[in-house]
Amino acid sequence: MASTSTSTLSRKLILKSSDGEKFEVDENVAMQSQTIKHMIEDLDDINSPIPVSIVTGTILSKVIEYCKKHATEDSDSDEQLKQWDKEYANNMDLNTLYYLLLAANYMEIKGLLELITQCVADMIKGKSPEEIRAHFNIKNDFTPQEEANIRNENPWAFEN
Amino acid sequence: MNALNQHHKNHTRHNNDNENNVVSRIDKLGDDILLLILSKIDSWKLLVQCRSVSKRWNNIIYQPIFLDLISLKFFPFTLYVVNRHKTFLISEHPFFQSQNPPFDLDFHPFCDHKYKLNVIGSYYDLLIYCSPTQYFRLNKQLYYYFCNPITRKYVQIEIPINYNNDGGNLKAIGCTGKLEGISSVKGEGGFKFVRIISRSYFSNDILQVFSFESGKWSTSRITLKFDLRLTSFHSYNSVTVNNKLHWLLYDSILVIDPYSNDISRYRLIELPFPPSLCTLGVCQERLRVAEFAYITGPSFVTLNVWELADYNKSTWTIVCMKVITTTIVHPIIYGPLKKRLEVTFHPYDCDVVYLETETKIVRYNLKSDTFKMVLDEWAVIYPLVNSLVVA
Repeated sequence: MASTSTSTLSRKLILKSSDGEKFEVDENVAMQSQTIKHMIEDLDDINSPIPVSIVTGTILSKVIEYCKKHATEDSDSDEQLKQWDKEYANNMDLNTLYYLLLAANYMEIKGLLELITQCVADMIKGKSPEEIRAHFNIKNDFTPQEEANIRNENPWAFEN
Repeated sequence: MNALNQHHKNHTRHNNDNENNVVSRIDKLGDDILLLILSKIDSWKLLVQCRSVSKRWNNIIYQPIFLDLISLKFFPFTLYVVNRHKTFLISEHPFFQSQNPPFDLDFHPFCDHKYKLNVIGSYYDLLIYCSPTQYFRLNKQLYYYFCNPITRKYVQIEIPINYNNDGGNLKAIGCTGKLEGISSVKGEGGFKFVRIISRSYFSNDILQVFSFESGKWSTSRITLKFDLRLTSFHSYNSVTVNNKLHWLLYDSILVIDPYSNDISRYRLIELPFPPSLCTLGVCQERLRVAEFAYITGPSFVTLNVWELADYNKSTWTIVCMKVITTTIVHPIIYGPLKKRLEVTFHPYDCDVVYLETETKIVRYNLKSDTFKMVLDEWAVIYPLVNSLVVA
């Protein structure tokens, strides 16, 4: 609805993280999250803080940084925005990426979820199974026989 | 959050004690998120490697919903290898790995034990073959067959009787478009089968197109400055890129667009090197040419791989230049290379090629310079790419 969206542009919302930190954001920034969009629709009083129950303040501030960048239209070309996304994701350590994934999934922010999943997938590229386990700290729960079976079924995949 | 801060400070990749203390957070992510991450991987080879990371990864990659999600992105590669007596399969495809080779066309109703069907080419997931040549003498109707060896579905078209398939006058074949109902991989436009034949040494070549939309053959004449190279399978089975057909000529690549109004008007893409031994192929939807030369007798061969970087401007870039020793030092490829050396490019893995000599087929990694024997006999390779999900 175009008529209402212009009037709601300037409205402010308050998001409250799981550890009680409050963030004041423009409504169009917060609306990037499908979850918050649905919450606002059901809300009578938009002045009371909206709880984002599983996301900490540290992570929420990063989510908001992403949403702000993607809420301002026309200011950047697609190319510039892609470059910004790349730098944004590259500046995160692995742990932050995991929390961002959980937040993006919970808050239903499609663009952010795409960005971070791609970023994690890029880390898998070029690594052997052993290197993948080491990088993501995954326990090998196969018996040696089970692991050998997978390799023997697909010898071509484990060649140079 | 404490764990987060602690990890921040202590995160060094070489410190094993700290690594072990940190819980693997990727394992804490839900299956739906891990599935989303793995679906972003663009190599089937890497995904198969990922199966051996842990039981959870293995389960996610092998579930039908995941295979469905990624099946439009890439297709496992299969070498369908035929020699005089047998058929061999070297495949990345789970379906073919579960079969016991040799895998023959014996499911085919027209296949009797007296006469063999002749495989003449391949196109994505289709094998192309024709009636036994003996049928010509028996005055039976001859057909071309287009068959998906996984689903075992096929269609047949009659070979026009005025230009038969017997003898050496079939010069080249090729396909474009998508064969609806049979093929399950990509391809745009109506399916067309093209063949070039010559009736005599002096006359023009005949270009014939069978359109599956109209169900009809159309015939036109074509005059080429140089003959098509007819040394092997690679020369008469077209390489199809951008829905156009490509064959090697003496010093250039012949490009035919079967969708144009006048298909006898062709384009030539000049090769980036003087005429020499070479093979045409495709990797990641780009044309590649492998060029050979002998340096000092038959014990060294140089292999140069070129890629057509800009299709419209016909500009080439060199991918790699290799010197291969063919002496006893390299027992795997030791043997007479002199008369025949062909290359089949892996359609997705840029580093992998298959070398076919007169006596063997060898897998060669361009990056690591490693060889692996695939088959210790003479044979012809028909490359196939099949969809992961078998309809």
